Parts: sequence; structure tokens; C-alpha cells
Amino acid sequence: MLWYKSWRESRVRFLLSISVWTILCVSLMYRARTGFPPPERTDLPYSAWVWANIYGNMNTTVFIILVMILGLGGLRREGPVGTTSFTLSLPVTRNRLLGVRAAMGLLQVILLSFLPAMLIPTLSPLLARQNYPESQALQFGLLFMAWGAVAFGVGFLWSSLFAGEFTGTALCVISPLVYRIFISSSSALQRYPAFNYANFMSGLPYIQSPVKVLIDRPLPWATFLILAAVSTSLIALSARLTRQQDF
Amino acid sequence: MTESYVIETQDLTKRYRKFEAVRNLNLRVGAGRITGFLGRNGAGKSSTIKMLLGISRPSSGSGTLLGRSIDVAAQCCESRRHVAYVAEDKQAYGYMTVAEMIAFTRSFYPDWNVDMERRLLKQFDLPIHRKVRVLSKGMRTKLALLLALARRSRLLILDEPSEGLDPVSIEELLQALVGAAGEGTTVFFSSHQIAEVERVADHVCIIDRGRLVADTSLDQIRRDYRRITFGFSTDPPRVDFTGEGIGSVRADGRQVTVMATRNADAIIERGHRFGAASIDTNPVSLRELFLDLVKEESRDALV
Amino acid sequence: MAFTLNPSSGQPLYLQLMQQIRHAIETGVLQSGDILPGVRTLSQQLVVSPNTVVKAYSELEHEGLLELRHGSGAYISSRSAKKTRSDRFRRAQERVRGLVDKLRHDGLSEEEIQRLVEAELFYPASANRRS
Repeated sequence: MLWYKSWRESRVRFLLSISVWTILCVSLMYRARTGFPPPERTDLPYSAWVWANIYGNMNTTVFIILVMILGLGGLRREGPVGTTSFTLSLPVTRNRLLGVRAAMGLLQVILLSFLPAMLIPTLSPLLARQNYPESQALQFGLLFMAWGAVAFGVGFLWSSLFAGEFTGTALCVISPLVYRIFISSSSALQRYPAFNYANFMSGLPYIQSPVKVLIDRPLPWATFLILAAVSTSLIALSARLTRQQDF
Repeated sequence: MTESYVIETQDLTKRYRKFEAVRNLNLRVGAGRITGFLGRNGAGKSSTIKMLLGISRPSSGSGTLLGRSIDVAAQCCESRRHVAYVAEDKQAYGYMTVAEMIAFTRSFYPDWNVDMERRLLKQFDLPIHRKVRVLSKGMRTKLALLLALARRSRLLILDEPSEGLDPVSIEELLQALVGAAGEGTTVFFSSHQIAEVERVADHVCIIDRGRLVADTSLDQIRRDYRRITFGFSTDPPRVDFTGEGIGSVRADGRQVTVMATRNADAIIERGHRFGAASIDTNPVSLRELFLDLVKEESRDALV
Repeated sequence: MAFTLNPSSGQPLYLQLMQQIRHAIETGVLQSGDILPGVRTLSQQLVVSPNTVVKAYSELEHEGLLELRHGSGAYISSRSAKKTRSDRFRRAQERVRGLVDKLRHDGLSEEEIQRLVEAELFYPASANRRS
């Protein structure tokens, strides 16, 4: 029943993230009834509208922060509550405790990443009286998932280092912003679009046509693998730290 | 006599920076009996228990729990399947209800006893649909006890189980411990309450300042340990009490008090030969033994 | 059946329990055929380790006072009545010996002693006191 425990402990954060993201998607589509196309650009394609409001703006940072927060929790968090001894006395290894929590979290990240893909193509005809291609939404979902997994890994790492709820959350809000500043200031790193999560998730490196703003270049499968490896390493590092800690 | 040890440590040590909470501990707990782990606050009881269960890691030394090493995660994990544990915190997950907590815990242990679960639920009168975070302290302790006792485990480890309990609850707790022992569970509980240990324990291990200072059965204390006070008319008495069965010797003016762990008669005889004018023999209670041992340690520390 | 065990006295608890059970048998509070609580029940009632009860019961079984029937409990053995009777008889013998010695010492003859004892048995002066 470790899955159940992980679910209960991440439930609120997950449902909150789902709500935030759902509201963003639905409000975007609803606004399209009256606000789209905008009077100053009547020839704006719907896909560009969607891009500007979901994939291409600050929402990507919001996504990263939410996913990082999903990575928090775990044994250190149980310390102040006093249940660490109970959890650790269960006949399961620390690896398994962490493994289940990581797996549950990653599943949640995947769901969150593909939420726009589930909502926008299906609901656009009803709410916005427009059409949006499913394949596009899925591709953006993949981009979100790739970097989402990394962000989740970072949050997971914070969870094995810090016990306080406030400290962890504060870090999750600050670190993406600090990272962005760091990336923008380094000209060397700017050569690799994958380093900049906002850039990556917005799909810009894979968009040729600036008008429709649709992904038409092949997606970087190598980069996906590398990001997956980074995420896994962060989780593995977190596991290693936890294995050696005293509670 | 028990030949198998459910808990065995070899020079187990736990260091927190410079402070040694547990020092070269060689603990042995035999199967099939109730063993009390007695010590003052901060003597190293909790630290020891946490190392045995893999909750914290030894700084040096080793140990086994149900025959499996406590250092190897997979082994220790396997042992824990047959160990029931009540932590000092006695906490459960606040967001779960009592029923959910029981279902959760039950899923990990094949030795779960449903009849005992029902019996204890009734006896403890726990509200099964109430969330743990709104339970009173007494109720939470009872829940923690239930989660450990509703099983036919081989070993039951309790860390300061009576802490914060009222006398009626303590009585229920001791009865539950004794009941578990009656089912064949080996019981190992730490406490700083001497009276409880004296009542229910078969065996006692006394720990002070991280070291084991006594490891004996209570029957032996009652049968063989004697406090013998010799009064001498010469001052200071020229006596030499060393050797077998001497626990401690204290001189106070013309009186010499010997704590004998056995052979009280031989020691009395020696006192006679040294010309003792008066000899007073008394049995030793666990409290007296404990205070004697613990004070002795502090005396050595001052030297 | 209530027993009181004192953990701080200088006597192992199982010996205390044995003494109290023996005393109960001697005074007739426990009679042959009576059943004592099982190990688990008694240990929980007294709040002592079950090993204490086990030791006491098994020692008493060795002495012939108890019969441990696996699964049904500890019965006061039928031999116990005989055993305690023989104990009582032995003690009575000692008392009589002591009394006879004392009466002889006071100067009474054996005939006089015998007449006194018979008279007491036929017309007990204490009978009036009792009724």
C-alpha cells in the first residue's frame, strides 16, 4: 500500500496543479469565443493564439514550479510530523520507499504534461469554435514531459536535503527563476536550446513557420533521452543520500 | 535457558559528532522471554533500538536482528517483517483514518492476526473513522499499540511505551505485553520506569551512558543479589572485598556495604573472618541495583 | 483466585506464586479437581511474565500438586489432597509429640494423659464455646 500512501501525500499538490492547468486551458478556449481573433490581428491563426497563451509564455515556468513542488515530500518531511520511525520500520527498503514515490510522481508529471493535449483539441471546437490538431498538442506534451521530469527530479533532490515544508517550496519557486537568469547570462549555454527549459518547452527550436507556430521540425529524441537520464540521475542521487541518512 | 538470541550486538557504537550515545555495546536478548532495557533519559536506549531496526546507522560495530545483519538493508528489511515495533513517537499518518491506518499496516505483515485486531479495537475503543491527526495522545498510543500487537510477530520492540500514559493505560499496556509474550512473542522494551520492568520482565539489561552495565535475570537479582552491610569496630576497617560475586563495595566510616551478585554466604563468611562486629543482609530491589550501578558510573567519571 | 506477587521482595516471583498456591491447597481453598487459570490468563491477570506462571506450574507439577493437561489447564491433583493430608498429619504428629512431652514433664502419668485426651474428645469443653 505504498502507492496509496504516496498518492495520499501528493494528492493535494497534484489536484491543485491539475486545477491550475485546467483553468488556464479552459479559460484560454473560452476567451477565444469573444477575444479571438484579436482586433489588431484578425488573420492570427488559432494555433498561434494557443501557443502564445499556453506554450509560449510564463506558463511554462509555472508548470516547472508546480512539477518541482510535486517532487517534495518523502522521509525528511515525515521528520517533524514524527512518523519517520514508523515508515522506516516497515519491511520495505528505503530504495523501495523512494522508488514508489518517484514513480507516482512521474506518472503525475506525465498526466500534467499531456493535460493540454487532452483538453485543447477536444474542447476547442465546443468552447472556441476552432480546431486544433491533436498531433501538435501531443508533441508539445512530449516537450513538457521531458523537462517536467527533470524539474521533478530537482524537487525530489530538494526533498532529501530539506525537511521544512516552507524551505522546500521556497526553493521550488526560486530555483527555476535563478536557473533562467543563469542560462540567459551564459552565452555558451545559449547555443543548446535544450538547456533553457522555457525555450525548449515552447517548441521554438522545432518551429519553422512563425505564422502558424506549429511544430514542423523533427523532435530531438536524443535530447529526450539525455533529459530522461538527468531526471533519473537526480532521483538516484536523492536515493543514495537517503540511504545514508540517519532518522 | 535460551540459546538463540533475537538481538545481538558486537561493539555497537553510535557517535553524533563528538558525543558517543552508544559505546561498544554488546547486547544479547534471548528468545521467549520479556527483556526490559532500562536506563536513564539519554542513556542510549532509543539510539540502540533505532540502529537495530535500520532507522539509523551504526558509527561502528555490528549487530543482528533475528539472526540477520542490521547493516545490510535487504537483510534488515527481511527481519523487520517479523518484528513489531512501537516507536517513541507513537505516531501514525495524520491524514489517514484509524481504519485506513490498520489496512495500510496490515498489508505489510503476513503474520497479522485479525481476531486480535478486532479484540483490541473493542478493548481500546478506537473510533475507526476518525482521522489520526484529531486523535488524543492516549488514543494515538493505543493505535500504535494495536498496530504492533494485532500480529503474531516473533519479536516485539517497544521504545518507552508507557511515556505519557495514565496509570490505567499503563496497566492495559503491561497486560498487552504479557499477553503477547504468552503467545510466544519475545518482548524487548525500553523504559526508565523501574517499577514496570520489575513487574513484567524476566530479564533486564541496564544501559548507562551508552554502555551496558548489567545483564541479568530478575529471578537472579531476587535470589542471589544481596546488600550486605558490615559494621567494624576498627576504623578504617582493614578489609579486602574483591573477587567473585562482588558487584560494588562502598565504605562509609566504620561501615562497609557490599553489593553481592552471588555467593552472599561466602562474602558474609569473609566479613566474619575480617572481624565484622555487625552484619546486616538485605535483598536488592531493581531500583537499588539500578541506582547503585548508575551512581558508580558517575563516580568513575569524576575520578 | 487472587494471588499477590511482590516484585521488590527478595524472592523470585515464581516461588511466591508457588507458595501461595500451596497455601491455598493446604487450607482447602483450592481442592483436588479445581482448575487454575491458564498461563496466559493468569499472567495477564497478575500482570507478570508468563514464564513466571510456567515455572510455578511446572515445579508444582513436579511436586505432584498440579496436573497440567495440555490444552485444558492446570488441575489441582487428587494426590495433592493426600499429600497435604500427609503434611498435615506430619505436623499434627509433631504437635502431639510436643504436648505429650510437656505433660510428662509436668509430672502426669501416661494413663492420666490418655484419660485427658479421651475426655476432651468425648466431651469437648470447647464445643460450648463454638456453638
